[in-house]
Amino acid sequence: MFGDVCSMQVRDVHKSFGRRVVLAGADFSVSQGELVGIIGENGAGKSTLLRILAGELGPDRGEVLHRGALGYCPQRVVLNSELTVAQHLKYFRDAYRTRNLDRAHELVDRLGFGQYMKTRTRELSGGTKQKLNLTLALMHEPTLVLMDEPYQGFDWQNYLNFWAITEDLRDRGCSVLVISHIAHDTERFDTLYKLRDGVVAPEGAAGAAAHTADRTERSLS
Amino acid sequence: MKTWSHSLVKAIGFELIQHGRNRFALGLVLGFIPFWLSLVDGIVMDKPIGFAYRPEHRLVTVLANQLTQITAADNAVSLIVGFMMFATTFRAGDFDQRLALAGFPRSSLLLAKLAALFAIAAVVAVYAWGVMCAYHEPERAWLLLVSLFTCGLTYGGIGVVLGVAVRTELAGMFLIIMLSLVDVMVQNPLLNPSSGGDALRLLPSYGSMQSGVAGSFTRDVPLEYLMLGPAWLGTFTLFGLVAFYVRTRDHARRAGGGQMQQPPQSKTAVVVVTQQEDGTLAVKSSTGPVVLCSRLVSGPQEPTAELVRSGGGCGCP
Repeated sequence: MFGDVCSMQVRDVHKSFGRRVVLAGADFSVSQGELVGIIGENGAGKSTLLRILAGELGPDRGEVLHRGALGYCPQRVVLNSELTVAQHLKYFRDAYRTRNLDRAHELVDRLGFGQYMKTRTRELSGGTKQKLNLTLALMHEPTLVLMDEPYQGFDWQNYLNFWAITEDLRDRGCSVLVISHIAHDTERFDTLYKLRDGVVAPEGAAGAAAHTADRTERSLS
Repeated sequence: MKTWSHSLVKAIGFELIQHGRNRFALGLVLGFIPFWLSLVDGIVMDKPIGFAYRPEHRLVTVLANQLTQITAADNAVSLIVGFMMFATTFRAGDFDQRLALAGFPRSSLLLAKLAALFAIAAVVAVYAWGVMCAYHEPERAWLLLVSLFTCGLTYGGIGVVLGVAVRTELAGMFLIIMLSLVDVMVQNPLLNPSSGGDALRLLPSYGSMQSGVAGSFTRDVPLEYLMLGPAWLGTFTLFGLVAFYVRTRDHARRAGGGQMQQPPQSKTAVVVVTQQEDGTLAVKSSTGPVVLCSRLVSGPQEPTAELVRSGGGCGCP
């Protein structure tokens, strides 16, 4: 049953760069099977927060705890320009110690870039690089996925594909945290937070706006 | 389950692929080395000159153009190997970090870089040595070859350190070029008449230069000078290792039993149920997660609901 188990807990996380305070006590948790969104304006510290959650950066104070396998899709495409798509998959199969590449190939098919398996990533378009960036984060069937603006460069169809994949992940019990600045994405999340002044707060809690998670789920017959 | 050695072999393979695709560096190897060595041999006079030969603490008389060719070869090998190692380490920095965070053994990644460095230094040294031998016959050809190889190892190590440590590609390239130029030039008596000074011993290519001269003009085998290159490599590798480990450190903490508090159990959902024209019901959640169930199933006991879909944070009754 979803929601009984915590996948990630963020406790009082602070981070500064020089005198600039980026995070001033971020505090929230993600439950198993929950789709969480964090929105914020440019420069609010969303990417810094996600880098800390992923373990790429250390917080100055506070702690981040998570359970199970982590998948991380950074905002910036992090690939090796001299390796092909297939070589990336093989490299990360070893990193994740997965038995095979079945899930990776399934994602490649769903995102529609199977024809580029033997192409070096330096020759790929920005959108295709982003698809590979996303595939590398999901190919080991993680229990918690952190994604930072993961659909940058996607066309409309792939944007929809992305959300279909994300909802599949949630339905499998995977917790998903997405950093987003696109206002109309917000209705897709189970829980929505806003990062402002270095603090993560439930969006709408202050009464400024209604919770944006309005969504028509499904009819009952 | 893949073993560590399997990861190492794969990492070495991918490192070599990356270097093999560095066309600019390959162009430098093929074109710059013969051009530079031919130019030096052509423009520097072939008259005798004294060189401070440390292994025997004496001046040996050598041909100026042949000596300067050793300087030029050390310069070319150090530039090319240093540049190749710097370029791959610098450009793959974020990728290596991502691989390490994903679980790839960091020791495999670093050892793969070292293995690639040995391979590249060997190839470049053999090529430069072949070109040199076409102009002058050295007294101990193998020693000259090994001296070039150790020079490549030294600067490859410098390249790895700079690749991890510097912020911009331009800064790294500039440092390698300037370091190599100053290093080899001040050891040549044509350019620096006082090239026997003690301070020169601290230069990275000092051992290579001394053993290169030994191989070209004497029958000596100055092992202690030959080993200076690997010693420099060891030092730089240690720096690179520390910087690489710091940079690829995983700051995330996996929760042990009881470390994480349970999430709040009661997230209240506010829903609006409306009947639509076709008779179906639409459920809108304005806050909180919901679970939708369909078809009340009558059984011998209490009616139960069949789960059709669950959102986060809430269970089916």
